[in-house]
Amino acid sequence: MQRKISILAGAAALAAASVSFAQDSVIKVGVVQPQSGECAQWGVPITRGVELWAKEFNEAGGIKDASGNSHQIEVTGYDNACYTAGEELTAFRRAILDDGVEFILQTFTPASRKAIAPLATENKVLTTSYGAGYLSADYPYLIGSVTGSPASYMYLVSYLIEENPDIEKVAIVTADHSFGEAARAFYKAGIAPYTDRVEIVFSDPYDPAMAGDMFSIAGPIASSEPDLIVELGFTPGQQASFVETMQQLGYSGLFASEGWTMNFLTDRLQADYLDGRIYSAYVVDASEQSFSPRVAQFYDAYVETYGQAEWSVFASVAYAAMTTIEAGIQMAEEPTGEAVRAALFAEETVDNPLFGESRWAGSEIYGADTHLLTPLPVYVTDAEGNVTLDGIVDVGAWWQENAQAALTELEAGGQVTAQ
Amino acid sequence: MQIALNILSLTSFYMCFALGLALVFGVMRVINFAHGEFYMLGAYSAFLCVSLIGPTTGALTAYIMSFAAAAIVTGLLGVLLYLVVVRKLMDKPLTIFIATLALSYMLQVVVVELFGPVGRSLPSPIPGIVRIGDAILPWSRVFVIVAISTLSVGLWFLLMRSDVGRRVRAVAQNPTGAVLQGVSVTRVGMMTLVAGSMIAGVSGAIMAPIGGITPFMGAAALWKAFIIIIVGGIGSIWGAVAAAFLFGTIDTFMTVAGAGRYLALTNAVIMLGVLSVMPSGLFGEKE
Repeated sequence: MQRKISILAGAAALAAASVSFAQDSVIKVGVVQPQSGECAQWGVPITRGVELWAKEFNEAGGIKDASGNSHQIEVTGYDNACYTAGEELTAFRRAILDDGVEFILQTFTPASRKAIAPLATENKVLTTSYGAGYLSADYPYLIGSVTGSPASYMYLVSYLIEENPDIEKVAIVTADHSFGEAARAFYKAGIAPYTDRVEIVFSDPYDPAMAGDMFSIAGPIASSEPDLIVELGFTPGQQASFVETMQQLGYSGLFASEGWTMNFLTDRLQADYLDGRIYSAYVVDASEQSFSPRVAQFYDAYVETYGQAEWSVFASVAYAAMTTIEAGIQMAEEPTGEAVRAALFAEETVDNPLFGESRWAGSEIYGADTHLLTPLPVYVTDAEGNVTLDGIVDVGAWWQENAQAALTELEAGGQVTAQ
Repeated sequence: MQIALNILSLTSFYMCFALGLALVFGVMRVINFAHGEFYMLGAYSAFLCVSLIGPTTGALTAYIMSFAAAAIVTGLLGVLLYLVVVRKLMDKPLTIFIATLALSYMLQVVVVELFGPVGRSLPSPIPGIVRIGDAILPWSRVFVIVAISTLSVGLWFLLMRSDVGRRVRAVAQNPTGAVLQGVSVTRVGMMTLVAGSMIAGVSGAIMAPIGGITPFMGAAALWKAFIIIIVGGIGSIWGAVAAAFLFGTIDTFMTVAGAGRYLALTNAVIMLGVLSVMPSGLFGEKE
């Protein structure tokens, strides 16, 4: 009798412990981004975006998987020394081999993605980015959660050309590094369908170290007399300095980039110059409150936590990128990289919590349909220096119509890795 | 004409980075790796001054006052650096290098904690541009050119025409001989480090409206500063001016020609080339 009681008590204790364990289990998420140095201006907001995403679930008791188990999310930032491929790999080793991380958000920078692809895949760590950059059928654990970079540059420049038929000359201003090179190729791909009426008048890359002296960079650009300038690579302060310098050189056309730090621009430039001139498109900008109530709430939470001066569009980009992982966890029986990946790719589409039904694509560029093409909101500044929603690009439809022209440029720019 | 103005502008930027370091390195042969962060703190001092007192005094007045604030902040840091690190490790230059490297990281982290990593923007308190023929130059850059030229000339006069300057040069040329002449090497060393730190801080304040202010802006400035003082010649202010002009010219032409990706390589090759032919630099004094 006593033995029966002991066995029953032991079984009850074990059941209680397993329930408790299932409810308390932790999903480890890594964010590999610059945590220090000049590039921390991007990396720290991105890390904060993921932390606030996790906090949303943690405060509600955890994220539930398809088995009904709740899990707390633990986010850790790892420094990749300004998107250096070697440091990216070092950070990944620490995250995966030392800390047992199952999900990682990293940069889209192609060189960095290539560097970690084998490690992430061998260890079945689902590694996503706020864009694609590099994907491969050989590395199925590398995915792109949202349209993001660098593809967004293609859709953005195309959108502007469509919406502004008077644009005949475009200047592409990108830095001389891996993601600058990717941006250049994707901007050219976005212009490719319009070569009968649009000319690229400038596309020389600049040395990031020279971005402290905008006149040397801006002078040749102004001389080429573009109607539209598309850029990628300046820091927030440099962006504002660049726009100011172009204004001083008499430029009256449009500017476009993945994102702008508006308080830097409004500090240096008059509202009438900014009004209707500054365009951006990078996943989603949470400072624009009409696109999604959830994203608007995220913006409020970010500003409350870190202050208005610390707002960066990259925070909402990271937050949005994690919503695809979120959808995968909620569809999976258990929150492991392998199970979540299987759940995400069970169908050709994913119902993303922010963007709705979105299709996996990418085989023509990367040889694998592991890039989730989410609709792309395009934003423009108004007279008060606020970011407003100008339109939404149906990226799937655009790609169907213009893939051939775009692929030629992407191939020339070394961005096509499909065999 | 525009290129000429760009060269003048860039030369003055490089002088901002290099002037204080030229003094410290030239006299004390000490590598202050935190020099870039003193420059950065000067920029943040300008930002704070304009933000806090600008609404009362007007932006331009607050900006001018920020030079004093920058000098005080970085001067005090220079005193602390000398007393805590340099004085105790004068015969261990490598240890000073490592200690100041650690200090530079500490200062970056402190500023990130206080102001965040995203950086700040300081609009030019002197808006507008001046036209010279077809070329233009913003008044903010004219101010930089005038300010750093004044600082350079003032420093030259101090070193060459004052009693203090004679003592500084004596220590730079021959510390033992200077001691025998009754010069306090310790006092001169501290004065030089403090002066160099203050120049770095004021330079940061001067440059703050130009390109934005971030906790990490000192690193790029430091690299350029070292190249300039090495090529210009250790201990030579005019050598630093000449080297700043040389690199200002080369960098401007290369950027305008679309060869910006080769800048770092070109700068390094020039530095190695000059040193192989003139080991003391363009205007340096032979050891």
